[in-house]
Amino acid sequence: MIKAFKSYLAQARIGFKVGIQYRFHFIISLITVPLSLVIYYFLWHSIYSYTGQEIIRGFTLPAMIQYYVLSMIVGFFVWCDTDKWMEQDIRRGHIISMFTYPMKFMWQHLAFEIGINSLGILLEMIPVFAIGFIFFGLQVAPAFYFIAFLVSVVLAFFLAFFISFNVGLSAFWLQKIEGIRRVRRTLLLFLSGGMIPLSFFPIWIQYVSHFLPFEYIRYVPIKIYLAEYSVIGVLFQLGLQIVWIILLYLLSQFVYKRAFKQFAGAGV
Amino acid sequence: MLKFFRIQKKAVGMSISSEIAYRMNFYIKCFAMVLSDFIGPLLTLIIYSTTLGIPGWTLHEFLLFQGTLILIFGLGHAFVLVFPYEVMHAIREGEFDKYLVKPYNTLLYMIAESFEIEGLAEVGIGIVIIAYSMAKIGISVFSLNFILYLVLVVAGFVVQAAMMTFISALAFLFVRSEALMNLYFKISDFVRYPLNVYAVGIKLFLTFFFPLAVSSFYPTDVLLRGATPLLLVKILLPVIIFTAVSVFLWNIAMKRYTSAGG
Repeated sequence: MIKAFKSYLAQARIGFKVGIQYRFHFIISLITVPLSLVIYYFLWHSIYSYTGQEIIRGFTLPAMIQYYVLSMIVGFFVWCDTDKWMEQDIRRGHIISMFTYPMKFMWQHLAFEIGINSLGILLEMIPVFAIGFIFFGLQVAPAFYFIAFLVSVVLAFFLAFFISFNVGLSAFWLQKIEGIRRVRRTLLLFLSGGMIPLSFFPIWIQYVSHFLPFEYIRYVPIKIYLAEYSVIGVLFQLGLQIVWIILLYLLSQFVYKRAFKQFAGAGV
Repeated sequence: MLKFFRIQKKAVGMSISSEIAYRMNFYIKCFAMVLSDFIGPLLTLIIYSTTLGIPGWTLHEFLLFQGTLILIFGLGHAFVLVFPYEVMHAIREGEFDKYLVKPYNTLLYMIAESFEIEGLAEVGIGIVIIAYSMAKIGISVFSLNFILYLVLVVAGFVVQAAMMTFISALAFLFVRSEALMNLYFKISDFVRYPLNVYAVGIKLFLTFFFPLAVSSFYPTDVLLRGATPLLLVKILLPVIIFTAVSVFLWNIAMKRYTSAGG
Protein backbone atom coordinates (compact mmCIF):
# COMPACT_ATOMS: atom_id res chain seq x y z
CA MET A 1 0.00 0.00 0.00
CA ILE A 2 2.70 2.46 1.04
CA LYS A 3 4.83 1.25 -1.81
CA ALA A 4 2.06 1.94 -4.30
CA PHE A 5 1.53 5.37 -2.79
CA LYS A 6 5.23 6.14 -3.13
CA SER A 7 5.24 5.31 -6.80
CA TYR A 8 2.26 7.60 -7.41
CA LEU A 9 4.02 10.32 -5.47
CA ALA A 10 7.01 9.91 -7.77
CA GLN A 11 4.69 10.28 -10.74
CA ALA A 12 3.26 13.48 -9.23
CA ARG A 13 6.77 14.78 -8.69
CA ILE A 14 7.55 14.21 -12.38
CA GLY A 15 4.43 16.18 -13.23
CA PHE A 16 5.57 18.98 -10.94
CA LYS A 17 8.93 19.08 -12.72
CA VAL A 18 7.28 19.19 -16.13
CA GLY A 19 5.31 22.10 -14.71
CA ILE A 20 8.54 23.88 -13.81
CA GLN A 21 9.56 23.61 -17.46
CA TYR A 22 6.53 25.74 -18.20
CA ARG A 23 7.33 28.37 -15.61
CA PHE A 24 7.83 31.07 -18.24
CA HIS A 25 4.35 30.22 -19.46
CA PHE A 26 3.04 30.74 -15.93
CA ILE A 27 4.75 34.10 -15.57
CA ILE A 28 3.36 35.27 -18.90
CA SER A 29 -0.08 34.18 -17.79
CA LEU A 30 0.23 36.47 -14.79
CA ILE A 31 0.31 39.29 -17.35
CA THR A 32 -2.33 37.85 -19.64
CA VAL A 33 -4.94 37.04 -16.98
CA PRO A 34 -5.36 40.70 -15.93
CA LEU A 35 -5.52 41.59 -19.64
CA SER A 36 -8.53 39.34 -20.17
CA LEU A 37 -10.15 40.82 -17.09
CA VAL A 38 -9.63 44.31 -18.52
CA ILE A 39 -11.38 43.25 -21.74
CA TYR A 40 -14.36 41.81 -19.83
CA TYR A 41 -14.49 44.87 -17.61
CA PHE A 42 -14.79 47.30 -20.52
CA LEU A 43 -17.17 45.08 -22.47
CA TRP A 44 -19.63 44.60 -19.62
CA HIS A 45 -19.24 48.13 -18.36
CA SER A 46 -20.42 49.46 -21.72
CA ILE A 47 -23.20 46.88 -22.02
CA TYR A 48 -24.55 47.60 -18.53
CA SER A 49 -24.50 51.37 -18.94
CA TYR A 50 -26.08 51.13 -22.41
CA THR A 51 -28.80 48.74 -21.27
CA GLY A 52 -29.50 50.85 -18.19
CA GLN A 53 -30.53 47.94 -15.96
CA GLU A 54 -29.01 47.40 -12.54
CA ILE A 55 -29.33 43.63 -12.64
CA ILE A 56 -29.18 41.52 -15.79
CA ARG A 57 -30.02 37.83 -15.41
CA GLY A 58 -29.18 37.87 -11.72
CA PHE A 59 -25.86 39.68 -12.09
CA THR A 60 -24.98 43.26 -11.18
CA LEU A 61 -21.91 44.71 -12.91
CA PRO A 62 -19.60 44.17 -9.88
CA ALA A 63 -20.88 40.60 -9.53
CA MET A 64 -20.20 40.06 -13.22
CA ILE A 65 -16.59 41.20 -12.87
CA GLN A 66 -16.18 38.96 -9.81
CA TYR A 67 -17.60 36.13 -11.88
CA TYR A 68 -14.80 36.45 -14.43
CA VAL A 69 -12.07 36.73 -11.78
CA LEU A 70 -13.35 33.51 -10.17
CA SER A 71 -13.67 31.89 -13.57
CA MET A 72 -9.94 32.44 -14.14
CA ILE A 73 -9.12 30.98 -10.72
CA VAL A 74 -11.24 27.89 -11.32
CA GLY A 75 -9.58 27.66 -14.71
CA PHE A 76 -6.19 26.97 -13.10
CA PHE A 77 -7.66 23.98 -11.28
CA VAL A 78 -9.47 22.47 -14.22
CA TRP A 79 -6.77 22.96 -16.83
CA CYS A 80 -6.08 19.39 -17.89
CA ASP A 81 -4.11 18.08 -20.85
CA THR A 82 -4.24 14.36 -20.08
CA ASP A 83 -5.69 13.65 -23.52
CA LYS A 84 -2.72 15.38 -25.13
CA TRP A 85 -0.18 13.29 -23.18
CA MET A 86 -2.10 10.12 -23.97
CA GLU A 87 -2.23 10.93 -27.69
CA GLN A 88 1.54 11.54 -27.72
CA ASP A 89 2.29 8.36 -25.80
CA ILE A 90 0.11 6.21 -28.02
CA ARG A 91 1.44 7.62 -31.28
CA ARG A 92 5.08 7.40 -30.24
CA GLY A 93 4.69 4.04 -28.56
CA HIS A 94 5.76 5.16 -25.07
CA ILE A 95 2.51 3.73 -23.89
CA ILE A 96 4.03 0.23 -23.87
CA SER A 97 6.51 1.11 -21.17
CA MET A 98 3.75 2.80 -19.21
CA PHE A 99 1.89 -0.51 -19.08
CA THR A 100 4.88 -2.07 -17.38
CA TYR A 101 5.03 0.47 -14.54
CA PRO A 102 3.89 -0.86 -11.16
CA MET A 103 0.92 1.48 -11.26
CA LYS A 104 -2.59 1.48 -12.65
CA PHE A 105 -2.67 3.32 -15.97
CA MET A 106 -5.35 5.82 -15.03
CA TRP A 107 -4.05 6.62 -11.54
CA GLN A 108 -0.65 7.19 -13.00
CA HIS A 109 -2.06 9.89 -15.26
CA LEU A 110 -4.07 11.35 -12.42
CA ALA A 111 -1.00 11.61 -10.18
CA PHE A 112 0.94 13.26 -13.00
CA GLU A 113 -1.81 15.79 -13.61
CA ILE A 114 -2.05 16.63 -9.91
CA GLY A 115 1.69 17.29 -9.95
CA ILE A 116 1.46 19.64 -12.94
CA ASN A 117 -1.55 21.54 -11.67
CA SER A 118 -0.30 22.02 -8.14
CA LEU A 119 2.52 24.18 -9.46
CA GLY A 120 0.10 26.28 -11.50
CA ILE A 121 -2.15 26.69 -8.49
CA LEU A 122 0.77 27.71 -6.26
CA LEU A 123 2.17 30.20 -8.77
CA GLU A 124 -1.03 31.64 -10.18
CA MET A 125 -3.99 31.27 -7.88
CA ILE A 126 -2.69 33.43 -5.05
CA PRO A 127 -1.55 36.33 -7.29
CA VAL A 128 -4.85 36.26 -9.17
CA PHE A 129 -6.81 36.31 -5.92
CA ALA A 130 -4.69 39.32 -4.91
CA ILE A 131 -5.24 41.06 -8.26
CA GLY A 132 -8.97 40.35 -7.93
CA PHE A 133 -9.17 41.76 -4.41
CA ILE A 134 -7.15 44.88 -5.20
CA PHE A 135 -8.23 45.85 -8.72
CA PHE A 136 -11.46 44.07 -9.60
CA GLY A 137 -13.53 44.35 -6.43
CA LEU A 138 -13.51 40.66 -5.55
CA GLN A 139 -15.31 40.22 -2.20
CA VAL A 140 -14.14 37.91 0.56
CA ALA A 141 -16.57 35.00 0.74
CA PRO A 142 -18.03 33.88 4.09
CA ALA A 143 -15.88 31.12 5.65
CA PHE A 144 -18.30 28.28 4.95
CA TYR A 145 -18.70 29.25 1.30
CA PHE A 146 -14.98 29.77 0.88
CA ILE A 147 -14.20 26.29 2.17
CA ALA A 148 -17.02 24.82 0.12
CA PHE A 149 -15.57 26.62 -2.91
CA LEU A 150 -12.17 25.01 -2.34
CA VAL A 151 -13.76 21.56 -1.99
CA SER A 152 -15.82 22.21 -5.09
CA VAL A 153 -12.87 23.23 -7.30
CA VAL A 154 -10.96 20.14 -6.24
CA LEU A 155 -13.96 18.03 -7.27
CA ALA A 156 -14.13 20.08 -10.47
CA PHE A 157 -10.52 19.13 -11.15
CA PHE A 158 -11.41 15.44 -10.90
CA LEU A 159 -14.36 15.97 -13.22
CA ALA A 160 -12.20 17.76 -15.76
CA PHE A 161 -9.61 15.02 -15.47
CA PHE A 162 -12.07 12.20 -16.14
CA ILE A 163 -13.56 13.98 -19.15
CA SER A 164 -10.09 14.54 -20.51
CA PHE A 165 -9.10 10.93 -19.77
CA ASN A 166 -12.15 9.58 -21.59
CA VAL A 167 -11.32 11.76 -24.59
CA GLY A 168 -7.73 10.55 -24.43
CA LEU A 169 -8.86 6.91 -24.57
CA SER A 170 -10.29 7.53 -28.03
CA ALA A 171 -6.69 7.80 -29.23
CA PHE A 172 -6.47 3.99 -28.89
CA TRP A 173 -8.73 3.82 -31.94
CA LEU A 174 -7.98 7.04 -33.81
CA GLN A 175 -4.26 7.65 -33.03
CA LYS A 176 -4.50 11.35 -33.81
CA ILE A 177 -7.18 13.10 -31.77
CA GLU A 178 -6.30 16.77 -32.10
CA GLY A 179 -9.79 17.44 -33.50
CA ILE A 180 -11.68 15.76 -30.68
CA ARG A 181 -9.46 17.46 -28.15
CA ARG A 182 -10.35 20.80 -29.64
CA VAL A 183 -14.08 20.01 -29.55
CA ARG A 184 -13.65 18.99 -25.92
CA ARG A 185 -11.91 22.25 -25.02
CA THR A 186 -14.43 24.45 -26.82
CA LEU A 187 -17.52 22.70 -25.45
CA LEU A 188 -16.08 22.61 -21.96
CA LEU A 189 -15.27 26.30 -21.94
CA PHE A 190 -18.59 27.38 -23.38
CA LEU A 191 -20.96 25.02 -21.54
CA SER A 192 -19.20 25.39 -18.20
CA GLY A 193 -19.87 29.11 -18.28
CA GLY A 194 -16.31 30.17 -19.04
CA MET A 195 -17.35 32.83 -21.55
CA ILE A 196 -20.64 34.05 -20.14
CA PRO A 197 -22.61 33.00 -17.03
CA LEU A 198 -25.04 30.20 -17.84
CA SER A 199 -27.97 32.29 -16.58
CA PHE A 200 -27.71 34.30 -19.82
CA PHE A 201 -28.51 31.20 -21.87
CA PRO A 202 -32.07 30.45 -23.00
CA ILE A 203 -34.03 28.66 -20.27
CA TRP A 204 -34.18 25.29 -22.03
CA ILE A 205 -30.40 25.17 -22.47
CA GLN A 206 -29.98 25.98 -18.78
CA TYR A 207 -32.34 23.13 -18.00
CA VAL A 208 -30.52 20.65 -20.25
CA SER A 209 -27.21 21.77 -18.81
CA HIS A 210 -28.21 20.57 -15.32
CA PHE A 211 -28.03 17.06 -16.78
CA LEU A 212 -24.61 17.51 -18.34
CA PRO A 213 -21.32 17.40 -16.42
CA PHE A 214 -19.97 20.71 -17.74
CA GLU A 215 -21.58 23.27 -15.47
CA TYR A 216 -20.24 21.43 -12.40
CA ILE A 217 -16.73 22.21 -13.61
CA ARG A 218 -16.91 26.00 -13.46
CA TYR A 219 -20.31 27.55 -13.01
CA VAL A 220 -21.26 25.71 -9.82
CA PRO A 221 -17.99 26.40 -7.94
CA ILE A 222 -18.24 30.10 -8.84
CA LYS A 223 -21.84 30.30 -7.66
CA ILE A 224 -20.80 28.65 -4.42
CA TYR A 225 -18.15 31.33 -3.86
CA LEU A 226 -20.71 34.04 -4.62
CA ALA A 227 -22.92 32.44 -1.91
CA GLU A 228 -25.88 31.95 -4.21
CA TYR A 229 -26.92 28.62 -2.71
CA SER A 230 -28.27 27.83 0.75
CA VAL A 231 -26.14 25.57 2.95
CA ILE A 232 -28.26 22.56 1.92
CA GLY A 233 -28.00 23.69 -1.69
CA VAL A 234 -24.20 23.76 -1.50
CA LEU A 235 -24.09 20.22 -0.12
CA PHE A 236 -26.51 19.10 -2.84
CA GLN A 237 -24.31 20.58 -5.58
CA LEU A 238 -21.17 18.99 -4.11
CA GLY A 239 -23.08 15.68 -4.08
CA LEU A 240 -23.95 16.09 -7.75
CA GLN A 241 -20.29 16.73 -8.54
CA ILE A 242 -19.37 13.47 -6.82
CA VAL A 243 -22.10 11.59 -8.70
CA TRP A 244 -20.69 12.85 -12.00
CA ILE A 245 -17.17 11.88 -10.99
CA ILE A 246 -18.34 8.33 -10.24
CA LEU A 247 -20.26 8.08 -13.53
CA LEU A 248 -17.33 9.29 -15.60
CA TYR A 249 -14.97 7.01 -13.68
CA LEU A 250 -17.15 3.98 -14.47
CA LEU A 251 -17.34 5.03 -18.12
CA SER A 252 -13.57 5.32 -18.33
CA GLN A 253 -13.10 1.84 -16.82
CA PHE A 254 -15.53 0.37 -19.31
CA VAL A 255 -13.85 2.07 -22.30
CA TYR A 256 -10.34 1.37 -21.05
CA LYS A 257 -10.91 -2.39 -20.94
CA ARG A 258 -12.00 -2.37 -24.56
CA ALA A 259 -9.19 -0.05 -25.58
CA PHE A 260 -6.56 -2.23 -23.95
CA LYS A 261 -7.96 -5.37 -25.59
CA GLN A 262 -7.82 -4.07 -29.13
CA PHE A 263 -4.54 -2.21 -28.71
CA ALA A 264 -1.57 -3.47 -30.68
CA GLY A 265 1.78 -1.81 -30.10
CA ALA A 266 3.07 -1.77 -33.64
CA GLY A 267 6.79 -1.46 -34.05
CA VAL A 268 7.72 -0.02 -30.70
CA MET B 1 7.40 37.08 -57.05
CA LEU B 2 5.97 34.20 -59.04
CA LYS B 3 8.34 31.70 -57.48
CA PHE B 4 6.97 32.47 -54.02
CA PHE B 5 3.54 31.48 -55.21
CA ARG B 6 5.04 28.26 -56.48
CA ILE B 7 6.54 27.60 -53.03
CA GLN B 8 3.19 28.43 -51.48
CA LYS B 9 1.46 25.96 -53.79
CA LYS B 10 3.88 23.19 -52.79
CA ALA B 11 3.37 23.99 -49.10
CA VAL B 12 -0.41 23.79 -49.54
CA GLY B 13 -0.11 20.42 -51.25
CA MET B 14 2.19 19.05 -48.54
CA SER B 15 -0.04 20.30 -45.78
CA ILE B 16 -3.10 18.67 -47.31
CA SER B 17 -1.43 15.31 -47.80
CA SER B 18 -0.12 15.23 -44.24
CA GLU B 19 -3.60 16.01 -42.93
CA ILE B 20 -5.21 13.31 -45.05
CA ALA B 21 -2.92 10.72 -43.43
CA TYR B 22 -5.25 10.79 -40.42
CA ARG B 23 -8.51 11.32 -42.26
CA MET B 24 -10.91 10.96 -39.36
CA ASN B 25 -8.92 13.41 -37.28
CA PHE B 26 -8.94 15.86 -40.17
CA TYR B 27 -12.74 15.83 -40.49
CA ILE B 28 -13.21 16.26 -36.76
CA LYS B 29 -10.64 19.05 -36.73
CA CYS B 30 -12.53 20.95 -39.40
CA PHE B 31 -15.73 20.43 -37.44
CA ALA B 32 -13.97 21.73 -34.32
CA MET B 33 -12.86 24.81 -36.22
CA VAL B 34 -16.40 25.52 -37.42
CA LEU B 35 -17.73 24.94 -33.91
CA SER B 36 -15.28 27.28 -32.22
CA ASP B 37 -15.83 29.97 -34.84
CA PHE B 38 -19.56 29.87 -34.31
CA ILE B 39 -19.13 30.32 -30.56
CA GLY B 40 -18.45 34.04 -31.10
CA PRO B 41 -21.64 34.72 -33.09
CA LEU B 42 -23.56 32.49 -30.67
CA LEU B 43 -22.30 34.57 -27.77
CA THR B 44 -23.42 37.65 -29.69
CA LEU B 45 -26.94 36.27 -30.05
CA ILE B 46 -27.01 35.49 -26.33
CA ILE B 47 -25.78 38.95 -25.37
CA TYR B 48 -28.21 40.71 -27.71
CA SER B 49 -31.16 38.63 -26.54
CA THR B 50 -30.57 39.49 -22.88
CA THR B 51 -29.25 43.07 -23.10
CA LEU B 52 -29.34 46.04 -25.46
CA GLY B 53 -25.89 44.97 -26.56
CA ILE B 54 -22.82 46.98 -27.37
CA PRO B 55 -23.37 50.74 -27.60
CA GLY B 56 -23.70 51.94 -31.20
CA TRP B 57 -23.89 48.47 -32.75
CA THR B 58 -27.09 46.68 -33.74
CA LEU B 59 -27.14 42.89 -33.76
CA HIS B 60 -26.44 42.60 -37.48
CA GLU B 61 -23.78 45.28 -37.45
CA PHE B 62 -22.00 43.40 -34.69
CA LEU B 63 -22.35 40.13 -36.60
CA LEU B 64 -20.76 41.87 -39.59
CA PHE B 65 -17.95 42.91 -37.26
CA GLN B 66 -17.46 39.32 -36.14
CA GLY B 67 -17.58 37.95 -39.66
CA THR B 68 -14.82 40.38 -40.61
CA LEU B 69 -12.80 39.36 -37.57
CA ILE B 70 -13.13 35.66 -38.42
CA LEU B 71 -12.26 36.31 -42.08
CA ILE B 72 -9.08 38.30 -41.41
CA PHE B 73 -7.82 36.12 -38.56
CA GLY B 74 -8.70 33.11 -40.73
CA LEU B 75 -6.47 34.46 -43.50
CA GLY B 76 -3.76 34.99 -40.91
CA HIS B 77 -4.26 31.46 -39.57
CA ALA B 78 -4.14 29.93 -43.05
CA PHE B 79 -1.13 31.77 -44.46
CA VAL B 80 1.14 33.20 -41.74
CA LEU B 81 0.40 31.76 -38.30
CA VAL B 82 2.66 28.71 -38.66
CA PHE B 83 5.66 30.89 -39.50
CA PRO B 84 6.75 32.02 -35.98
CA TYR B 85 6.26 28.49 -34.61
CA GLU B 86 8.44 27.19 -37.42
CA VAL B 87 11.10 29.80 -36.61
CA MET B 88 11.11 28.91 -32.91
CA HIS B 89 11.20 25.21 -33.68
CA ALA B 90 14.07 25.69 -36.14
CA ILE B 91 16.11 27.77 -33.68
CA ARG B 92 15.64 25.23 -30.92
CA GLU B 93 16.53 22.23 -33.07
CA GLY B 94 19.44 24.05 -34.72
CA GLU B 95 17.79 23.69 -38.12
CA PHE B 96 17.54 27.34 -38.99
CA ASP B 97 20.61 27.26 -41.24
CA LYS B 98 18.72 25.28 -43.83
CA TYR B 99 16.55 28.33 -44.46
CA LEU B 100 19.57 30.59 -44.80
CA VAL B 101 21.19 28.53 -47.56
CA LYS B 102 18.06 28.57 -49.73
CA PRO B 103 18.45 30.82 -52.78
CA TYR B 104 15.47 32.91 -51.73
CA ASN B 105 14.80 35.76 -49.35
CA THR B 106 14.50 33.98 -45.98
CA LEU B 107 11.54 35.97 -44.70
CA LEU B 108 9.48 35.61 -47.87
CA TYR B 109 10.37 31.95 -48.17
CA MET B 110 9.26 31.16 -44.62
CA ILE B 111 6.02 33.06 -45.06
CA ALA B 112 5.36 31.30 -48.35
CA GLU B 113 5.95 27.94 -46.70
CA SER B 114 3.61 28.68 -43.83
CA PHE B 115 0.19 27.18 -44.40
CA GLU B 116 -2.52 25.59 -42.29
CA ILE B 117 -5.62 24.31 -43.95
CA GLU B 118 -8.08 24.90 -41.09
CA GLY B 119 -7.59 28.61 -41.65
CA LEU B 120 -9.42 28.27 -44.95
CA ALA B 121 -12.44 26.85 -43.12
CA GLU B 122 -12.45 30.00 -41.01
CA VAL B 123 -12.23 32.18 -44.12
CA GLY B 124 -15.31 30.40 -45.49
CA ILE B 125 -17.27 30.87 -42.27
CA GLY B 126 -16.28 34.53 -42.12
CA ILE B 127 -17.52 35.12 -45.65
CA VAL B 128 -20.84 33.40 -44.91
CA ILE B 129 -21.42 35.56 -41.83
CA ILE B 130 -20.40 38.73 -43.68
CA ALA B 131 -22.73 37.96 -46.61
CA TYR B 132 -25.62 37.19 -44.26
CA SER B 133 -25.27 40.36 -42.22
CA MET B 134 -24.64 42.58 -45.26
CA ALA B 135 -27.86 41.29 -46.78
CA LYS B 136 -29.71 41.91 -43.51
CA ILE B 137 -28.42 45.47 -43.18
CA GLY B 138 -28.81 46.10 -46.90
CA ILE B 139 -25.30 47.11 -47.97
CA SER B 140 -24.59 46.92 -51.68
CA VAL B 141 -21.46 45.21 -53.00
CA PHE B 142 -21.24 47.92 -55.66
CA SER B 143 -20.37 50.85 -53.44
CA LEU B 144 -17.31 52.88 -52.62
CA ASN B 145 -17.53 51.74 -49.01
CA PHE B 146 -17.29 48.11 -50.04
CA ILE B 147 -14.19 48.77 -52.15
CA LEU B 148 -12.60 50.56 -49.19
CA TYR B 149 -13.65 47.61 -47.04
CA LEU B 150 -11.78 45.19 -49.31
CA VAL B 151 -8.69 47.41 -49.20
CA LEU B 152 -8.82 47.48 -45.42
CA VAL B 153 -9.32 43.70 -45.21
CA VAL B 154 -6.09 43.33 -47.17
CA ALA B 155 -4.44 45.85 -44.82
CA GLY B 156 -5.73 43.78 -41.89
CA PHE B 157 -4.08 40.70 -43.36
CA VAL B 158 -0.83 42.63 -43.86
CA VAL B 159 -0.94 43.51 -40.16
CA GLN B 160 -1.29 39.81 -39.34
CA ALA B 161 1.79 39.00 -41.40
CA ALA B 162 3.70 41.91 -39.85
CA MET B 163 2.77 40.73 -36.34
CA MET B 164 4.14 37.27 -37.06
CA THR B 165 7.36 38.79 -38.44
CA PHE B 166 7.62 41.02 -35.38
CA ILE B 167 7.17 38.07 -32.99
CA SER B 168 9.66 35.92 -34.89
CA ALA B 169 12.24 38.71 -34.76
CA LEU B 170 11.67 39.07 -31.00
CA ALA B 171 12.09 35.32 -30.64
CA PHE B 172 15.54 35.67 -32.19
CA LEU B 173 16.60 38.73 -30.23
CA PHE B 174 15.24 38.05 -26.76
CA VAL B 175 13.15 35.10 -25.72
CA ARG B 176 12.89 31.82 -27.48
CA SER B 177 9.54 30.86 -26.14
CA GLU B 178 6.10 30.12 -27.40
CA ALA B 179 4.84 32.15 -24.47
CA LEU B 180 5.34 35.17 -26.75
CA MET B 181 2.59 33.78 -28.96
CA ASN B 182 0.30 33.38 -25.98
CA LEU B 183 0.89 37.01 -25.09
CA TYR B 184 0.08 38.00 -28.66
CA PHE B 185 -3.14 35.97 -28.64
CA LYS B 186 -4.21 37.72 -25.46
CA ILE B 187 -3.54 41.15 -26.91
CA SER B 188 -5.41 40.20 -30.06
CA ASP B 189 -8.39 39.28 -27.85
CA PHE B 190 -8.87 43.02 -27.38
CA VAL B 191 -9.98 43.46 -30.99
CA ARG B 192 -12.69 40.84 -30.60
CA TYR B 193 -14.93 43.72 -29.51
CA PRO B 194 -15.39 47.11 -31.17
CA LEU B 195 -12.88 49.76 -30.17
CA ASN B 196 -15.56 52.10 -28.85
CA VAL B 197 -16.09 50.01 -25.70
CA TYR B 198 -12.53 50.75 -24.54
CA ALA B 199 -10.88 53.70 -22.84
CA VAL B 200 -8.87 56.19 -24.94
CA GLY B 201 -5.46 54.71 -24.07
CA ILE B 202 -6.37 51.26 -25.37
CA LYS B 203 -7.90 52.76 -28.54
CA LEU B 204 -4.71 54.69 -29.28
CA PHE B 205 -2.56 51.66 -28.58
CA LEU B 206 -4.52 49.40 -30.94
CA THR B 207 -4.69 52.05 -33.68
CA PHE B 208 -1.22 53.57 -33.72
CA PHE B 209 1.32 51.42 -31.88
CA PHE B 210 0.04 47.91 -32.37
CA PRO B 211 -2.44 48.43 -35.22
CA LEU B 212 -4.43 45.24 -34.69
CA ALA B 213 -7.71 47.15 -34.82
CA VAL B 214 -7.32 47.13 -38.62
CA SER B 215 -7.94 43.38 -38.42
CA SER B 216 -11.53 43.78 -37.30
CA PHE B 217 -12.83 47.17 -36.23
CA TYR B 218 -11.76 49.62 -38.95
CA PRO B 219 -12.88 47.67 -42.04
CA THR B 220 -16.33 47.14 -40.52
CA ASP B 221 -16.59 50.71 -39.32
CA VAL B 222 -15.71 52.07 -42.76
CA LEU B 223 -18.14 49.71 -44.49
CA LEU B 224 -20.98 50.80 -42.22
CA ARG B 225 -20.27 54.48 -41.81
CA GLY B 226 -17.94 55.49 -44.65
CA ALA B 227 -14.56 57.15 -44.41
CA THR B 228 -12.89 60.50 -44.93
CA PRO B 229 -9.44 60.56 -46.57
CA LEU B 230 -8.04 61.68 -43.24
CA LEU B 231 -9.46 58.62 -41.48
CA LEU B 232 -7.93 56.34 -44.14
CA VAL B 233 -4.52 57.94 -43.60
CA LYS B 234 -4.97 57.52 -39.86
CA ILE B 235 -5.73 53.82 -40.37
CA LEU B 236 -3.22 52.91 -43.07
CA LEU B 237 -0.14 54.90 -42.05
CA PRO B 238 0.38 52.96 -38.78
CA VAL B 239 0.03 49.72 -40.76
CA ILE B 240 2.80 50.74 -43.13
CA ILE B 241 5.04 51.94 -40.31
CA PHE B 242 4.47 48.83 -38.22
CA THR B 243 5.21 46.57 -41.19
CA ALA B 244 8.41 48.48 -41.93
CA VAL B 245 9.53 48.25 -38.30
CA SER B 246 8.86 44.51 -38.24
CA VAL B 247 10.88 43.86 -41.38
CA PHE B 248 13.64 46.09 -40.01
CA LEU B 249 13.72 44.12 -36.75
CA TRP B 250 13.77 40.85 -38.67
CA ASN B 251 16.78 42.05 -40.65
CA ILE B 252 18.62 42.98 -37.46
CA ALA B 253 17.82 39.54 -36.08
CA MET B 254 19.21 37.92 -39.24
CA LYS B 255 22.44 39.90 -38.94
CA ARG B 256 22.87 38.96 -35.29
CA TYR B 257 22.03 35.31 -35.78
CA THR B 258 24.90 32.96 -35.07
CA SER B 259 24.33 29.37 -35.93
CA ALA B 260 24.28 26.76 -33.21
CA GLY B 261 26.00 24.54 -35.74
CA GLY B 262 23.05 22.22 -36.28
